[in-house]
Amino acid sequence: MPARRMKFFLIALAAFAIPHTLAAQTRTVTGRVIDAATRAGVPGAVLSVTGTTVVAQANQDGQYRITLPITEVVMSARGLGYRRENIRVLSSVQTLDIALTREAAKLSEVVITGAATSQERRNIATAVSSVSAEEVSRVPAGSLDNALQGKIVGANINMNSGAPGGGGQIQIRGVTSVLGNGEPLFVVDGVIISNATISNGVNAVSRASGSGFNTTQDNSVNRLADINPADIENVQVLKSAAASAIYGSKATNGVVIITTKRGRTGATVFSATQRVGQYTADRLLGSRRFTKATATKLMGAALANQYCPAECPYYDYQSSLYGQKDLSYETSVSLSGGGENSKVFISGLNKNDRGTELSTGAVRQSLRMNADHTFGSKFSSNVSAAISRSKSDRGLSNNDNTFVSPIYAFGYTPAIIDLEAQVAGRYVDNALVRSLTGIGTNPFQTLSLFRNTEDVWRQIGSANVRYNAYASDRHTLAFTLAGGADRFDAGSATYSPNNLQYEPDDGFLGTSIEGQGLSTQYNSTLSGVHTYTPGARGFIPFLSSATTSAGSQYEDRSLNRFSVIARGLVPTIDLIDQGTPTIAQTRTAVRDQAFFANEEVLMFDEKLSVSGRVRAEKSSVNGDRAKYFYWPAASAAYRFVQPFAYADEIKLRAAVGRSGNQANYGNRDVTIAGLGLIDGRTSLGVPGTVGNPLIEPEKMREIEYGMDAQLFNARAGLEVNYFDRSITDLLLQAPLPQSSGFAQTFLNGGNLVTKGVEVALNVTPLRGPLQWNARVQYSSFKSRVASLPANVADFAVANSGFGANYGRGRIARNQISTGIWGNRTRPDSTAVDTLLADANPKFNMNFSSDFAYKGFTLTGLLDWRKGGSVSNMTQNLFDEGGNSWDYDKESPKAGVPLGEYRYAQWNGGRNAGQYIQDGSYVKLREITLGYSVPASLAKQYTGGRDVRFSLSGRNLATWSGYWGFDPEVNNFGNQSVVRFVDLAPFPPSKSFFVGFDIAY
Amino acid sequence: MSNQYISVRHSGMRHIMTRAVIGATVLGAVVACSDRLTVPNYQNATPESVQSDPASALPLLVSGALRNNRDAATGYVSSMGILGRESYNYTPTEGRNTTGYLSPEVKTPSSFGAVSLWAGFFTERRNLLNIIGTVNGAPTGTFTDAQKSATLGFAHTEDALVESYIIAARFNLGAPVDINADPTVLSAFVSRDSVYRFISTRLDLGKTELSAGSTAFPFTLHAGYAGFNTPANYLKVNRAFAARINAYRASIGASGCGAAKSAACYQTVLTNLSESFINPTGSLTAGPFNVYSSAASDVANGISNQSNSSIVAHAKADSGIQLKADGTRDNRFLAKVITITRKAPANATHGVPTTFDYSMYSVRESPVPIIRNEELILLRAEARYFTGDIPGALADINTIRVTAGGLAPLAGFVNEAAFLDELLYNRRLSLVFEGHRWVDMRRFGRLNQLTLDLPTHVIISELPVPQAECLSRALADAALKAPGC
Repeated sequence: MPARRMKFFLIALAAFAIPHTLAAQTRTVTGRVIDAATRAGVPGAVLSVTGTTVVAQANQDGQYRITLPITEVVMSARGLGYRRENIRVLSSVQTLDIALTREAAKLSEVVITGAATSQERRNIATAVSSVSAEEVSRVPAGSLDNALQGKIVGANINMNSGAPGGGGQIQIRGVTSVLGNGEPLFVVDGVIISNATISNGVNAVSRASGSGFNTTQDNSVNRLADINPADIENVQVLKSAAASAIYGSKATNGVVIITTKRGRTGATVFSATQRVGQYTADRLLGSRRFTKATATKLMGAALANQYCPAECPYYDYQSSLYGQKDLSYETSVSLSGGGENSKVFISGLNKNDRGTELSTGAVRQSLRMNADHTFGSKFSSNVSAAISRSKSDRGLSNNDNTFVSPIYAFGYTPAIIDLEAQVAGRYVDNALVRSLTGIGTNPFQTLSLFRNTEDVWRQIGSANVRYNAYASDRHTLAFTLAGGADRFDAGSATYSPNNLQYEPDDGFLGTSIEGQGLSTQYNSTLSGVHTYTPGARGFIPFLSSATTSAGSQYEDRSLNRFSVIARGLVPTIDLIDQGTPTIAQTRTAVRDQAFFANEEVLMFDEKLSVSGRVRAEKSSVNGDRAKYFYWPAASAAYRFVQPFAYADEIKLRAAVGRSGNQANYGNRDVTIAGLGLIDGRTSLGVPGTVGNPLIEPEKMREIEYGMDAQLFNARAGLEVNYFDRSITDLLLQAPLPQSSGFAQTFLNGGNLVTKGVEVALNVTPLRGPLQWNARVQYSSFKSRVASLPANVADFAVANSGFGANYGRGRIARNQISTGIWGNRTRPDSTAVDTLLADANPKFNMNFSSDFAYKGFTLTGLLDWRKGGSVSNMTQNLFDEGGNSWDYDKESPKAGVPLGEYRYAQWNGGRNAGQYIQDGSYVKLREITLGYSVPASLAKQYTGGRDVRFSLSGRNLATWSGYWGFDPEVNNFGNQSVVRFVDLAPFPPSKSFFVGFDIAY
Repeated sequence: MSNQYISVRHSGMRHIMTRAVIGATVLGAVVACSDRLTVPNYQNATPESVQSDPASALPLLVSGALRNNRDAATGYVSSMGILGRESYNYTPTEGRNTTGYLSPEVKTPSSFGAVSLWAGFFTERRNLLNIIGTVNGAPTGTFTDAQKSATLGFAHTEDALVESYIIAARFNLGAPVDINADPTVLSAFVSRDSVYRFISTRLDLGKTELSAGSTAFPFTLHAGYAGFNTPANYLKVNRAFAARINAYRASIGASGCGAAKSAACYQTVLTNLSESFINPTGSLTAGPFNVYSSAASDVANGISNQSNSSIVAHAKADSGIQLKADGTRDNRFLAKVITITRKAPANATHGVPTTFDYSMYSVRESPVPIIRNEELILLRAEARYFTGDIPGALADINTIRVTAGGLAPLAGFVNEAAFLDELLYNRRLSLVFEGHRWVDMRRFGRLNQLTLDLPTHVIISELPVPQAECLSRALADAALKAPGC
């Protein structure tokens, strides 16, 4: 009998046992699925009978129960990370233990390929990265982005700062857009969730972006942070346009599909994890140590004598201010279980991360319930619901124009005044910096009184009902109605009390900001899936199976943000009605409607896999709301089974697809703007930039070639991808003829080209009592602006940097799109604005290894970024203020101290390259040592089934020649094009946790 | 076995077809109830939203047009002042305010000066077009015919005024006169004289519409229009603009008007003036003004001494000032020109320092005149002279000399040149730093009499078309290209 394939319609469905509609007589088979080497149960292993819809899933311990036809069948068994086994089950068999062998390439993993379908990794023809539950939650992380660092080949994941509570960017396969969205699409259990960043309004105090609202320099958190990593079963990342085309015009940046854990049949398993640890500041810079002579040179004799009576003291501001050592903890519990027809998973989290900066911290609490229920012979349904609360106080950091950001202030404060000293119960006035710069603040006072809290309540829920309309040994037909919603309200309250030392500087004492961001998204899908498994009897020769699916989808996303800034407050009262208020609001809504069709065909004994899909989509953001845009994709792969010695199988694949990126809300509208007052009356008139009623989505065509190999009896897996993507119809701004009365508009045009390579090698050198798995991943890409429309001049990327003096991104014809442009001094001493460096790393590489021996496990993850330049404005601040820790070191110019030399070389910004520096690093992202207590002991002493202790650390070591705190940070948060500005960041932290897990 | 197999297959096929049809029907039903994609723009009004409530949108649109107009007005006064050697903009960080207007580079489309006096006026015309569109597209019953007519009369009048600013700066190059609904469709440049004809015709259209207008506008004009805020009163402003533009046409002999300084052409000016708010015995400052404010969201007078101390009077602002009987200088000079500490250009080699500034716009709230009685009296003197009413011209000139300048009345003019000397002297002082000097010297062929601060400076008769406009038209048909690019 030829090996037959099986097929899952929805990943969630994999957990259901669907009653076989044809077999009149059945029998029940029970047993255990175990690891062939360790004899341990394989939790969640899936058993199925080829050519039928019979499926069962093993429990935590590998125990299973399956209802089989009375006849002899071939049953396939697979578990994540194990090679699939096909076992002939004789009609007499009633108990059966199945041993699975570990495989490096995870070929039996189920990968989501469409809105309603999935395939085994073995057969897919596009590159899809996946991260397992264990990998996500191994080491405590501030947020999910944090937990994914170094785990997805082809994704650059960077945290914007070291502040607690998250704030990071995932960029997949490079730059896809300049003015449009640059973030991947996040989908949790079928719900498209918001990853919006709601600014907390600190800008009203720091004035980093002038008087703006919802500005980008506030070190805000992107809301991916609300997801509880412990709830995640797996994360799959669709990278290529061929894979993501089914998500249409939201897919150029890749799609991150998050599937949460579900209940499993069997006895209820209760597990709890308690972790306690600490965050400590890493790579603090320190400050210049003054002598009387150097102090006199910097600040004159009078001040030098005042602050250095004998010799100059040194106060280590950074160690004190970033020295909060409170314990952080995380408690998570979960409950999983169920019977044949109903299963449930319930989890809870209470996490409290204390930041290294004084008075900062982040609290996250969440509750989830996922339930599955099968009713009648043809219906099954599931519900997933989570509620979470994320509360943070992220202190102050980043750029600032009022001296409130601590590192910014330290850059100008010689460390010779004891800022921690208290006079009559109040922090000492930072008179020194005030006399040096005219404005001043004491960061210790600021952080002890300043409040910057954000409180986010979020609900994400989804449900689906599936109707198994028909099932025979050759045809199955099912319809699914699925829907879900994601809603959050992010409330922020920022209070800068009247008595802070900087408060009088703006003419108003005290500032209070109340902000709200309300996000609501929902989507629904109706789909049908038909599978045809002809076996040997089919009409079409060589056809192993054909899966056809089609459906329609509706999506609705809206975001409403508003804030009230009140200045000039009554002492100690933070109510916004006590001061002079300014109010701002932005509101957006986008609705999409789509149809999709998907065909997946396996031929020649499942060796050839061919698939094609198309999505037709119209959207409210398009100029023509009635027009359907088509997002087609096709892919093919061929598996060579044992093509030569030591090669188990080698798959060659090619895929081509087209995906899109929507224009922003309002880009289509020819608006008449509010212009402000005249003689006390409000007015309306022509805005500076007018919408374009012809605007369309950006379009990306990507060709991907790849190879997946499983070698040496499943001991090695190699994945190689080459991609070539071309983005056309970019959303750009272009001038209109001035004689039209309009200044500029949006248009589609230009062409970005990105080419890159990804290589992932998984090996299992040791398989036995001592097991060793290792992984190396490499990725590299180059992104170039191939063309721009004739009427669009080369332009600087907004909010990417601080102008030509410090470097910023620029979109220029025939240049890399990730470049840092700034002034270079020419021989005639004039400055020219030119390409100085590339912010994009030459490559990213990561190495991970895990060892298991008896109850012990040791895992580690090293993350290496080679290249990628940074605009080190932190160094510029400290040099300008004369306070760099290495200021007095020797410089290339005799008699000139290093800091002074650097600042002089920079030449007031005419030589921006001085502060644009290499950001290469190697970080020990994660390390965990775990010990599982033998089951007998566990049972005896705790009554629990599994008991595990762990020691884990994140970012415990960083090796980098970079001068600043961390080359990974970005002052401007998440960016579509380039991110490279290090300006007075919240310093990075390392964390160390002790953990205890118990399961009953 | 085989038979059974076939029957199962057939029944399977039938079932599956039935169920597929049911499924497809449900799917189709869900899809059919679709159109939910109409999402409004929450941030800004759109032509559609304005159209849904034109009665309340109209006052806002009018305020927007007047707001834009007054922003353009200060730029107009400042730029025209530099070109007419009345003023400088010596902003320390922007030397191009000097070189871009006074050095030979001003003749190139890429110069800093060429950017000015262009885009803002077209934006203003677009605003006025929106007003016209709103009134014309309003559902029946929203406005009475008379209100509609009054509004159109207002918009056409303002539109003509704005076009007159455009041609004042681009003079011999001509300018586009049509604003197309689709901004990507280029509007052709027409000749200078055609532009003048367009303005004059549009003002006459405005007159007709205002005459048929309601007793009140369906919107409120700002305080600067006090006394001119009803269609009947505003008609007088329309006629004042007509007098001005027809005088310009007459003085240069624009085609369609007659030979330069012809009586026929000037006769029209006299008719226009008789219907305007001219009043030889009334306040010389009577007329509509642009108003400014320092309130939040409002706009201050950007050329006021308070807002910009770098915009100063010309170094020779004191030259050629006539003396009063008591030996002191013309009252207008004394009232309008003040002495300041020496102010030099950003780059000392590009210009000369000055010690003068103007005092008319002293504070952020200082209004800027749009057209004043004083100008109308001088226009009448000009028109009377060239229509042969020399005593009448003398009377008007003396009204201004005595009332505004405190000077002794003249007994007569020895010849035309003497009249023009006197007319232009009075126009210079009466209308100083209100945007007239360059236009006046140009229309009487006297640009060469303007003061050159440095031998490297040049005096131009018009600004080039800005580079951006050139580029927008670079690929267009020859008929749509901009002249001088």
